[in-house]
Amino acid sequence: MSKLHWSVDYTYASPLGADQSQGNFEREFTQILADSLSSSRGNFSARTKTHRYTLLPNFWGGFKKGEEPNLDIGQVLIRRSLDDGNVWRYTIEHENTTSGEELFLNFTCDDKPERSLAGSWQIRTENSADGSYSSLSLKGECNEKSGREREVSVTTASGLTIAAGTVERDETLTCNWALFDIIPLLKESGRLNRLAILDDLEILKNDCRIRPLKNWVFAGDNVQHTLSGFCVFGRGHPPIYWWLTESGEVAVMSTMLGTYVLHERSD
Amino acid sequence: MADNLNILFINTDQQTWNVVSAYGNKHVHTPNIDRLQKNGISFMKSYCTDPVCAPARASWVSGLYTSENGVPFNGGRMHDDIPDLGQVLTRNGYHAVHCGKWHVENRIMRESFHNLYTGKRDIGACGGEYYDRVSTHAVIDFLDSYDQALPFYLQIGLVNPHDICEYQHNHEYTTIPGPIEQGLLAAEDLPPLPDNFDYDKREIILQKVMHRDGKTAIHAPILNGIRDWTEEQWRFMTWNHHRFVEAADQQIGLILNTLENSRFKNNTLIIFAADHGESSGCHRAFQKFSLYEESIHVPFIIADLNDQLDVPKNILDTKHFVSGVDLVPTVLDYAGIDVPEGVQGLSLKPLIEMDRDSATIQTSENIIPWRDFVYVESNYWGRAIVMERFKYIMEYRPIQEEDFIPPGPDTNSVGLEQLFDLVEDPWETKNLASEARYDETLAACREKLFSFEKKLCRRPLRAGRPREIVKKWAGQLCERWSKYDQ
Repeated sequence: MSKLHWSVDYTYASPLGADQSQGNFEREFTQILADSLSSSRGNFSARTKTHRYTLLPNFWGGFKKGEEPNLDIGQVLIRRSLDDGNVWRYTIEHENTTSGEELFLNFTCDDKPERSLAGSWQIRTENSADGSYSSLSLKGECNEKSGREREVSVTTASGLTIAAGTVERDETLTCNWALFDIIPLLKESGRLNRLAILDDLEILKNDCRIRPLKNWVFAGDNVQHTLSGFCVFGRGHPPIYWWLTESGEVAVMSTMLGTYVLHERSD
Repeated sequence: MADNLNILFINTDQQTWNVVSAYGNKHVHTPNIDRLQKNGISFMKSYCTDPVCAPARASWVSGLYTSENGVPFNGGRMHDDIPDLGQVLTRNGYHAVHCGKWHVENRIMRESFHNLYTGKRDIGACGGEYYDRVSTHAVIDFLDSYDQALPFYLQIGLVNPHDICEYQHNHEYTTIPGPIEQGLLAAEDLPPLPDNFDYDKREIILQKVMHRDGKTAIHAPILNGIRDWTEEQWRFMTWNHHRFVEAADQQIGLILNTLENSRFKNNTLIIFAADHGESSGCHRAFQKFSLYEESIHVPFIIADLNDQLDVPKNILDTKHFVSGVDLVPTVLDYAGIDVPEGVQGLSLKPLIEMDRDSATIQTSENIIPWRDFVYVESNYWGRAIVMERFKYIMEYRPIQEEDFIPPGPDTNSVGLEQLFDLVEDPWETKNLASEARYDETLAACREKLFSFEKKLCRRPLRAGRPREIVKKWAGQLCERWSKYDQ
């Protein structure tokens, strides 16, 4: 039986879990997380932070068949720093070797717990998969539409503007990658309503909520860590499960297809 | 009609016709599919040819039923000599482009279409979360930069809401608490159980062997994992499916908004469809594969974002039966290209441009009657015809050995049958096949199906995996039949 929490457990008898030559999810997950948790803790109040998460597949089967034995299928690097104007500047580098697309995001958020998007943002992609699509550059912005609504749009390098949806005035608009800082700053209830998440800065998920979960005691390398859990879900947003360390750092984020495991950090 | 007509075919995976907010579903929010509905004609009686990914998609590109094209199940192999839509369009002056999920087995997409994007590891059945956003990027880039003289046909295979299958797989060996117990949702947040959650157990043997028995032929671990689900867990599965539908809808929104501001807005026809449905607890089932409505009845919309193409707006066509085999003749008709010999489908273009209240359709050459039923195959031996009032489901009995010619009335005997009155019982909860007062109806349905099948060109399966699958399934079925016969 796996010791992993059900929200991140993909050790079951899929072709991945059963065949040791193709890696073992529980072993790989535990090793990565235990190593990172045993290293020095991140400085929660640092003005510059970098976290790297390894992406493991939550897939039924078919990943990396006949390829290298480790399971990881990508990573995300999250860098952010607080500038003198009390604005957080985020740089995201995301690699998914299954889709073949690398994603580079630049955006800014205010220095409040909800991390509202501020100013314009940039999206750049590079595709290494077969096919004529090779890259895309988009610039995004959120503008007043009416007294009650704001409109989100992205524009290609050639000037083609694409509407990405509207946000009500009292709804917080943020980016999914800022949740790595929003969730640790949640108040005691661990709940948040009326959140509009701009997924990868282009797909608007309105009416999102955050709810707390029961703690999970993760045992790695004979050291127990009590992880606090949260679930984020909303319109077009199936549940994503988040697990935080005692020091309030995101240790694991698990979507339907992928589990992001803390690999390393620096302040 | 605009010159150089472009055609954009957007498809989702595993979405039943009524999981669209424009059609009255209050539990899902699909503003972008709704926009297509408002800007076009929705064929409300649209059915896939076979409720599984590869077969349904093989029919989309071949215009043939799955007993004809060699792909009657996932793992089938399309016959080499059958032309596909990409080949025909390319030969006739179109730039035929594919993006996203393909899943037409034994047909190399790159040899038939220009490949825009299909993933680093080719998309198999699943992976909406990973692939769909990249497919959308590729489409944005294409619509922003395409500068060739040829008109394009661009088909985009979104994988979602198929990721609901991953949700189901997650339950194979793990007990996951319900959302109310977890404190995520309140009971009123969940959609209700479907009206046919409790169902008539007098089903065809094929359905029992594939999806009901102790060790089912398809997805037995999922069935074992969910066998003791509470009603809350069933409802949460549907809630999750709705979120995946919304995720697909959001991608469709970006694609439509790109088209809207591109130079192709006024000369692009849009077709939207799903390959098959999702049971979502109907008949206490998950996924597809069955011949019930939730599995085979799919959305099909033809729309545009302009007033140039003679596409009527905001029309719900509740009269005409549409099948997955109609995609090829419809696309080719709009493209002004002759349909290859042997294609089974009908072009919907006359339906769109002429009097939709008519039972017959005027074409340039003659008046043809529109079909008064639609024909569906499933799991190799299963068949259904859906008519205005009645729906007939039947199975052919397998032959123990060498059952490699897809079954039909000339080679196989009839097994069990189901008959539903869709007017009185739209949820298919009461099988009328054993009631004497429906004997004549049943016989008429049987005859209708048999005479239709005589027109099909059923071809032996290719050697290798397709035959291995049939052999394995036939063994399980014959064992079950021998118990039944005793």
